[in-house]
Parts: sequence; C-alpha cells; structure tokens
Amino acid sequence: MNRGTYIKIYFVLLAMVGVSVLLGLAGHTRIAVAGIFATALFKASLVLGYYMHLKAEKNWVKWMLGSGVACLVILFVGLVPDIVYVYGRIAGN
Amino acid sequence: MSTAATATLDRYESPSVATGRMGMWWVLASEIVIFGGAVVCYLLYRWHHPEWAESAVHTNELIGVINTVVLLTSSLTIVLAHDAAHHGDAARAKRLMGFTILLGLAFLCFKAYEYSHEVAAGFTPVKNLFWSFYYFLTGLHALHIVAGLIAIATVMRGVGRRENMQRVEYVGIYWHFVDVVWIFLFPLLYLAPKF
Repeated sequence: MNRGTYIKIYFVLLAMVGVSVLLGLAGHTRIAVAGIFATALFKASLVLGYYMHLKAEKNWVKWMLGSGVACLVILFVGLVPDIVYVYGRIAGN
Repeated sequence: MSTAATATLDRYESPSVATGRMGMWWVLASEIVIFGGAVVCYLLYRWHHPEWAESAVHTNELIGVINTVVLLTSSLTIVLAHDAAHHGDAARAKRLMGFTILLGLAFLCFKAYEYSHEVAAGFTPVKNLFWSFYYFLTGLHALHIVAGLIAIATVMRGVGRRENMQRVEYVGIYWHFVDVVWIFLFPLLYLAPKF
C-alpha cells in the first residue's frame, strides 16, 4: 500500500465525519441515528482494513478479533432481559 | 540497513505473524471486550432512559468534531511513519511520530478544556448516570491515549538510533485502535444521544 492510498483514505474519513455531523443536524429520526452508526462502522472498517492492515492479516487474527465482538453480542443479548425487562418493571412500580 | 529494518521489509512476505504484532493483536482483542463491555452497558441503559437526551444536549459537539479530526489526522501520521519505517527512512518516521505525539497532546488539551467547562456548569460524574458513563468512557479512552503517547515516545527514541524499526507498526496498530474506539464514542456520546 502506498502513501497516496493512505492520504485518500484520510480524506474519505474526513468526509464521513462531515456526513455524520450533517445527519446529526438533519433531524431527530431513527434513520438519522442508523445513518450515523452506519457511517461510524464504515469509518472503523477503513481504519481497520487500510491503516491497521487487517485486510492483509492472517485469518486467525480476524477470527480472534471477531471472537471479542461475538462476546459483546452475547453480553448484549444476555443482559437485555435483566436491564430492559426486569429493571424496567422495578422502575415502573 | 540494520537487521531489524530488513526484518520489517520482509514483514508482508513472511508466512507467519511476527511475535510483536501477534502480541499487539492479543492486547487489542482484550481491549475490544473492555471498551465493548462498557459501551454495551451504556447502550442498554440508554435504551431504557430516553430522558438522557436532555443531558446529552450539553456535550460539546464542536470539540467532539475537532477531536475526531485530530485523531484521524494522527492515524494518518502514524501510518505514514510506519510506511517510512517500512522503507528504512528513520528520520521521516521519527518526524511523523513526533507529529502524532503533538496531535495526541492536542486531543488531551481539547478534552481537558471540555471537562473543565462541563464540571464548571455542574455536569460532574455524579450528576446522573449519563454523565457517569460519559466521564468513564471518555476518561478510559483518554488514559489509553496517554499510554499510546508514552509507547510512541519510547519507540521514537529507538527509531532515532535506527533500532527496532518494526515497533513503529506495533504502536501504530495500537494507536489506530484508540482511534477506532473514538470513532464509536463520538456518535454514541455527542451525536446520537440527543435523539
């Protein structure tokens, strides 16, 4: 990968910051929130893929990082009943 | 060219992952769970507390944007430093690492300014749960910035003597990870919570 590619990626990242700020100003809708987080995911994928060279990394490295993310998904799904349902019912009493 | 620099040049052709890089990926895998766990807790509470939007409007979005640009720029300078080290250009690598340190310090200065104004306005970590999460997440991130700056400064000293050039990549990977964390914290704490 050459310097030109890194600089191009940088300007794409800056443009994405602008897009997310505009989405934040556009209106308080679910679509805007989804857009803001989609933009964040895109920015993160660019940094991971091109700046951290994860694209060129061995597959086991990707699996190792993916397993960390999988743990978070399990944590989120596992805590939803406690935090949202049980906690919500107590708060409502 | 030193043996270390030659090893760096061979990095992409090597059939296995270099030990230092492998160690860094292990560190980052654990960091994903540390930061991710806190973010998951924040999301779950935020889901149940729509009134947090009233607190979130008091976060300083302009400084959030400036700090995002500062960190993205520092990611560019450190990846260019890695590129320079990869090509054996120690002087350029050292100069770019110096820029990265300056940008990291600028991030911390903006953060300190932001904290001081928020605390002065009464938005302390004990104000409510939103502000507790805000200070915890951004404070933990700032601590990682400080750790990254110390690591970059340490590696930079070696690069000046053309020693351990491969370490530029390792601190670079760490620094990019800190950037990725901020990429998610920025919308979580500055943009989306106002909704």
